[in-house]
Amino acid sequence: MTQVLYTSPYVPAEWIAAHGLEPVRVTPARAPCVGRASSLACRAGTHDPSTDSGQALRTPTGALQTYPAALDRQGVCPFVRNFVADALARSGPAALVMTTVCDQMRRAFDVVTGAGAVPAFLLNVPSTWQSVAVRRLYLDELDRLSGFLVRAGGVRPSDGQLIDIMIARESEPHGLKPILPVATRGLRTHPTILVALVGGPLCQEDIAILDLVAEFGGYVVLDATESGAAGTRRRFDRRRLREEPLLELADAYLDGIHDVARRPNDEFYAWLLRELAASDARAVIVYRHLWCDLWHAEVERLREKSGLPVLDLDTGDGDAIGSGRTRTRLGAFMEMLT
Amino acid sequence: MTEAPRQLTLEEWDRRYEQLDQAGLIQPRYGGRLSRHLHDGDYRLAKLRYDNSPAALRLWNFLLTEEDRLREARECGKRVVGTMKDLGTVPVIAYSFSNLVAFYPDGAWWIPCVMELSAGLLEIADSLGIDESFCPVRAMLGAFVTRCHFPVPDLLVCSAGAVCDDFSAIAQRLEDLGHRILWWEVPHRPVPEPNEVSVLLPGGLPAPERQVDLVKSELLRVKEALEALAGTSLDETALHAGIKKANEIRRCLAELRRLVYTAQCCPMPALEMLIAEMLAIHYCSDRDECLRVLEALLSEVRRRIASGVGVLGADAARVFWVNPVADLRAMNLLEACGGRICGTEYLFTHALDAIPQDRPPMEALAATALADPMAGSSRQRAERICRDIGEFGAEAVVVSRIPGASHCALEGWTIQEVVRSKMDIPILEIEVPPVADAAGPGLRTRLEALVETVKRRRRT
Ligand code: SF4
Ligand code: SF4
Repeated sequence: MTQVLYTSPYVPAEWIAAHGLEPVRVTPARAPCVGRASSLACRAGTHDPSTDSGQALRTPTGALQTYPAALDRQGVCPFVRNFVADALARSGPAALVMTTVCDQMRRAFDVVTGAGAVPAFLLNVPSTWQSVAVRRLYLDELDRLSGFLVRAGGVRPSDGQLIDIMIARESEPHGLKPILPVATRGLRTHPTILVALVGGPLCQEDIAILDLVAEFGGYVVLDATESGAAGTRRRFDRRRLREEPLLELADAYLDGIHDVARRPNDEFYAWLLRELAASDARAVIVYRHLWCDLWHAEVERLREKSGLPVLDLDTGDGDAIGSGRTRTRLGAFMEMLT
Repeated sequence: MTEAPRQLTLEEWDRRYEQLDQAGLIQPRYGGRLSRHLHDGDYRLAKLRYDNSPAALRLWNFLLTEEDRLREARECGKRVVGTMKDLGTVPVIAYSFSNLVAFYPDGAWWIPCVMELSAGLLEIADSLGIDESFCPVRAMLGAFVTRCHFPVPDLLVCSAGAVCDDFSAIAQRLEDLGHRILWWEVPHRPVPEPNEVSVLLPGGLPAPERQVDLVKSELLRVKEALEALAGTSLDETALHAGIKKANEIRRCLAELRRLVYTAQCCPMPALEMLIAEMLAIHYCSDRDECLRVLEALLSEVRRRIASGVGVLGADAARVFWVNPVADLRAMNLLEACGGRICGTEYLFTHALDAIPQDRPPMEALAATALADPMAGSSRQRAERICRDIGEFGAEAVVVSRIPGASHCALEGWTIQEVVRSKMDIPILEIEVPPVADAAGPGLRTRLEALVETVKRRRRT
């Protein structure tokens, strides 16, 4: 089945699946070398050395894929870079869906379409939420996305087909699967130091943070990252789903996702503070990518609002979890909590 | 007292000022020696070079007295609106009320440069968790905290959506300091789908009609808030009049840009032109005087062109400049290196293009807001740049990166790619920090090399 790759939580997988395409939420692998996302392909054995400087990737199907070298520039969010490189290096992606949630991803879309590497779509996600018109924008965007999916080989679904897919995905055990296997509330009585992980999206290797925290005597009790609870839609309302499936789909994403990029983002904090209280977390680790202004600006606010000790863990390509710098900083932080 | 056009240091301007004053120069209320602004801490002024015309003197004095004007306006009972990020649209509505003045706290962007980092604004931003990885607009936070650079507005309005992450994040931090903000959405502007009803925006780009409708409804929320602040409603006639006035200013500026950027011999330096362009955004807090200041500049330019004189040699390399510079001195530097500005894209072309007067006013303003180069793709921005390069006959492009700006790394790349593919001219990318003295020698070498390339290409 034709794959549609995306990473933003605002891209509704059910909508893609209802078009008869396969939604694939990409959790990118981190580039092992700073500034060379193409090394991802080297590691996977898919880099074509005949095309110098890592500007082209050979996908497992043998096709050559252009890697936009612009993404290696200083100032580019490593997550954006890794996502694009990872998506391009996968076998036979039919299409890529990106979103306007941040400036960096929006600009990366320009670079991807400029390179002509893969058909790509930019989903307009509103930043404010106060007006009906703004909510309507997201719904209109789903309609526009449908046109793109049809061009990518999909078929516009009937309401009935969409309902079936929504129900089916809701009942799958991992229908709302976060990346980290955390938030086991039963562990609240465990004598270790409970910490919450808050921040932007995670890369594959970032799961190692669980072990690293444990190594220092802690336990990640809440994953409130974009890849975790913060970026998870709410459950569908079964009755409304049958009456207005597309509206319910849009609302489940718009209302369910707790996004720091919203303006204002009071709702994110109201949700986070509730979750922090419920989790008994004693401290917060803000996990953010270098050059991500949206998360960077929140670190101090989070400190003020939560009243908890906060560790600002910024990571570039070379600072994967477990790297010396991250380990030292996390170790010092955990020691302070004991 | 007419003198041949040339650039002066601040000291030289004082002497020139004496002569003009003795010769009976009539000045506006805010007039006076330029050097007096040094006492306000504007130390960078001592390192800049200025055009020697009375029109330029008036321009600088107008710019440097804005804070006084805002405070006077408040003392006279006017309400002060701080409008953020949209650059040019909300002020058109605000100035359509007789008892509102609007300004951009974003303008604090230049305070670290103008005050040579002496105001401590960046340190305050640091202490609030907004460090140098953000663009210089973070100085705005410090300005709100110190309350020294502008009065705290009675209403703060900020556009969100397809804006830079820096500003959006910083404004959110500002709200946390107790300054409530009315946020309104300017969505990303996609290319209309083939079957979609589209509208032509000022500047010539198309946008889906549904998006113009959305922005219009958002602007109506802003208008309602302004009405509540002003204590009076704003009818279509008053708004029409506000648009008409804005267009007078935009037309005057358009003519000024056309004449200066296409003249054989550069009739007005880059720095004065940068400031003139900035006036279009919010009229420097006095709309009528703004027009008079620009008209004076335009008369001076016309006079100089008619006399065949200018401030720079006729062989200066014609450079198109992309993005505003955090250090104003960079504009002088380009000229010192043998270049001149022939076209600019300072991120607010939508504040320069005329607002449509043949459409209902709120719709016209929505179309204007949506024409923001930041709202669309970098490719569209680059295509407009190419069009303007052709119109102004530029021979080279400088893409000036803004330190810490979230859009610059990838946008700068796309702009260069597009310009390279469409125009056969050299491109230079530089980064200019708020006080670029340390970077000066490096910048000079690179700008000189660009100018040299242009001149070599002329010879071949
Ligand atoms: S981490 Fe930040 S900059 Fe990077 S994609 Fe996410 S929101 Fe954008
Ligand atoms: S310079 Fe760029 S990053 Fe800074 S406020 Fe302006 S648009 Fe935003």
